[in-house]
Amino acid sequence: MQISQHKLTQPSDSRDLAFDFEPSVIFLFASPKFPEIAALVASLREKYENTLLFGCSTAGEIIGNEVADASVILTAVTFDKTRLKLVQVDLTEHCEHCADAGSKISLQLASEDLRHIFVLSDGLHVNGAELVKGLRSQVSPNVSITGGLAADGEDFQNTFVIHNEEVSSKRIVALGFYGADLKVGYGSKGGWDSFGIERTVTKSSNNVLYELDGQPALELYKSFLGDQAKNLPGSGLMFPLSMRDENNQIPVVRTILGINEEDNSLTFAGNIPQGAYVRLMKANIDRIIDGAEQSALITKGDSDHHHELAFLISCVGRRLVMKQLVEEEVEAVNDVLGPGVYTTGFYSYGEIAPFDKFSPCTLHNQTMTITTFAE
Amino acid sequence: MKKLHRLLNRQLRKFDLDEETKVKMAPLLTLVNEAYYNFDHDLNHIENILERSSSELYEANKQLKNRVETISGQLTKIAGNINEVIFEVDRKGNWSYLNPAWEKLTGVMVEQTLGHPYHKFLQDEEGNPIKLLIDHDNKYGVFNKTIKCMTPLGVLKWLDITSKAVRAKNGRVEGFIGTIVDITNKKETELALIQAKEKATIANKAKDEFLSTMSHEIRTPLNAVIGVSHLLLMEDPKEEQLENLDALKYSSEHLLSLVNDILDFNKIASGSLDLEMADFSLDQILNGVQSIFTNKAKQKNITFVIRKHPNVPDLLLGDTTRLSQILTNLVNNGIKFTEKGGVVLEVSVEDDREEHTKIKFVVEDTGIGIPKKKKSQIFEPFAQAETHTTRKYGGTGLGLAITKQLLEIMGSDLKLKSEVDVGSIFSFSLIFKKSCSLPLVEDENAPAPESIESLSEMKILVVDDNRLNTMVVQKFLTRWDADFEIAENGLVALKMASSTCYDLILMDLQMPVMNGYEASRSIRDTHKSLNKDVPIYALSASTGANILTEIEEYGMDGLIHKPFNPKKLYSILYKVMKRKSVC
Repeated sequence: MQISQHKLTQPSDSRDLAFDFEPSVIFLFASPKFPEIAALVASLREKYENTLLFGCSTAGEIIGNEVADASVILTAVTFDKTRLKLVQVDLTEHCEHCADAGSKISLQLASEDLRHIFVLSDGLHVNGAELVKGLRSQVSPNVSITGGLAADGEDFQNTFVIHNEEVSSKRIVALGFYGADLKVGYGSKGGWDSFGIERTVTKSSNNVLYELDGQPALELYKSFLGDQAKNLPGSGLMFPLSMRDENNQIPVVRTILGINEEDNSLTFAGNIPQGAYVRLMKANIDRIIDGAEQSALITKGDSDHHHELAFLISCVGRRLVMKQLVEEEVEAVNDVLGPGVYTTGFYSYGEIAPFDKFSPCTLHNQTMTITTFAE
Repeated sequence: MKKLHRLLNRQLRKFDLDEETKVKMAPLLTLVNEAYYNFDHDLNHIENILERSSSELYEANKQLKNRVETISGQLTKIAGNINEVIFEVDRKGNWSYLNPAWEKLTGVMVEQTLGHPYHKFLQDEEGNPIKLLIDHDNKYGVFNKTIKCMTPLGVLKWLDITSKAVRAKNGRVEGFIGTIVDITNKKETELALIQAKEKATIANKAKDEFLSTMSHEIRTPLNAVIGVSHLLLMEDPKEEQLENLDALKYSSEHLLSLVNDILDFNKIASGSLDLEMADFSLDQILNGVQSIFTNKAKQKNITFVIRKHPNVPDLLLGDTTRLSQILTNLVNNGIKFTEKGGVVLEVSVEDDREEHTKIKFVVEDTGIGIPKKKKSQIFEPFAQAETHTTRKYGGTGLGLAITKQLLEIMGSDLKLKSEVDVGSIFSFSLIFKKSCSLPLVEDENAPAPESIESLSEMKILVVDDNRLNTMVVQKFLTRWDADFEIAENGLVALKMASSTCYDLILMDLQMPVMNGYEASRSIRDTHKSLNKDVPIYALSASTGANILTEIEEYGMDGLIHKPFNPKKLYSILYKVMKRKSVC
């Protein structure tokens, strides 16, 4: 595997790009603030017409130990033995069809030697949990799935994904990895703590939450946010929900994607079934960093092979909590993964991965989700 | 300098300061570093408090939820197993809660009912929805009503409905809670009971009428028997006949008292005994008692004394018939069961007020006495202390029962003190209204003159349809030299009274064609009647409680009970004759 990484801070930076190998894929994690991203992608595509372009918008770009803003982090990779296939599916208006979109993707990628699916999705118009359900439905449980939801800083306005020369919203892109020689590692961990009483979801519909214990959910959120309430939905990231129902013995974390003042509802990145039990969550910087480290330890597992390429997809909510200390969690992960690994990734609106190698893939929020590749 | 805080460290790294600046800034950085650590420390402290409070809250809430679950489980179990419907209706009038008893009552599933309007499932007999289950205007809180309803399965039921408004703190009605109880069985039993009672009342009335008629029917021939036995006794019978005649007289009188007792007892038992309120003279009653029992006592060689305290008033208001009946019963018993010594009737004032007086009557004998364990038994009807007592002393065993019950009706109580072989003391007290007017009825018991004077100055009209009775009266009147004529009914009497002037009319009450009442009124009302002011005495076997009032209403002057005591009849005739001669 050959890897080359670059941080572009302005469009002209792409002119001087040069690799000493022919990349099979270029991963692009782009800030929505980066000017003329479409032009950049087009010029890359022109220059490397046999190379797959794959990426999405972010709320912060990771390269090495650094968390950058307003940049594009470019990672060019050539796999020695692994084959790749890039697909895309458009999202319809309605989230109910997210499962269909997911299963369309896995159907297009399905093959006997499919090892892994790396998926990036629009971050605002998707029900991540349904998407994952669809993805899982058409492939063998041995095929691992990881990925994340594109982000738009703290603005929740416009997210996009990159599929070769196309930069578009309301779309899902996925990269299939084929061949027995690929070694994949993954892990996901948050480090957030539940607090207060457990509340019952008394009114909800898919990923829209109306009432907790018979009280309007938005009001409850506002009461906890205090002054920050005016910054919703961004500030809602400070109070994710820990949710468990009979199927989820390990509670999953759900973050707010949007609010509706008219019907006092909150929209989440995944389903909030009626009857589920939820608790509010709060963050503590040390424990979040510990969470990232734990995630890296899970990814590493008991394997002693060398990790060549690592994707860190971390939630924007974590960034809001850690502020200037955000790079601490990236360093913590890199310390575990060891020297010589190329690290990239982004701050997202949702993470997709199994908790560990024993559990099925699910949608997460507020986690550090890591995927590593080696050949 | 202390190890740099991670944040400061990171911030310094971003700026990559040169050594000179670093030295220059060292004191400031020390302060900033200190502040960062302090902030961390404070944050940890608050974090710790938050953690502890949160976990406490979480546990407390969990326990609370468990308790709520336990209690609501118990409540559900209770609500699920009781027979009454418990309901809740929301502000809009839709069912919001019903326990399973609803399904039993209506046959409609609870789930199919909830959320529907409360009046949709219960209808009245005509099929109109019953809308009174809730009442928004009810200011008194609880509403209760028993109604007949038709359930959705078409079954008619009696329901007892109670509901109450549930109000918010601001007083606004938020809904209603209540119960529905199926009282169909109870209601049906109640109706059946009412019907049964009506039937029983009709049956009782029939029985009363039967007994009343029977007693009248029995008294009429008895009147003849007693009258004839008296007549025979007056006609100087032979020695061997005398014994038979005495037996005949005694037996017929005994039969009469039996008939009277049974009639009285029935009246008391059926609650149809009405007390009379009339002026009477206590002295007259006591004199009567004295005259009845003096001879009886003399025959047994025992004494009978009436001790009346001087402050006892004479004129009172009350039921004279019943009072003399009570006294007669008690004195009669005393004499009956006493072989040595005597019987004393003591009358005293217990309490004297301006308008009322409470008089105590004590009848004390020196007779056989009543064993302790029999004391309560002797007041039971048809009971005497020992079975052989009946054989030895006779009687129906109704006397004491009637006496006791009469006193109870009069608001008093019969008390008994007794010792075997020493004697018995019966006592009671009665409250009488004082009276100042003389009694209407002539005293039947007034002492008759010792010698029989001829009544030849009298012309008497006897009105009676019973030939035996007229025969008896006829015999006596003939004996007393009185001039008389007979009319067999009221109409005949009225005709005769219009042409002949009489000194006295003896009027039977129940007769064919025209009864005694009508006849008396007509005689008094007819202008050309020669007998407008003639004394008319009712001669009757009737025992009705209001007979005295009735005869007064119809203008009669007095009542002579049939069967009559010849002495009484004579004394009345004598008195009328005397009054006539005075006039």
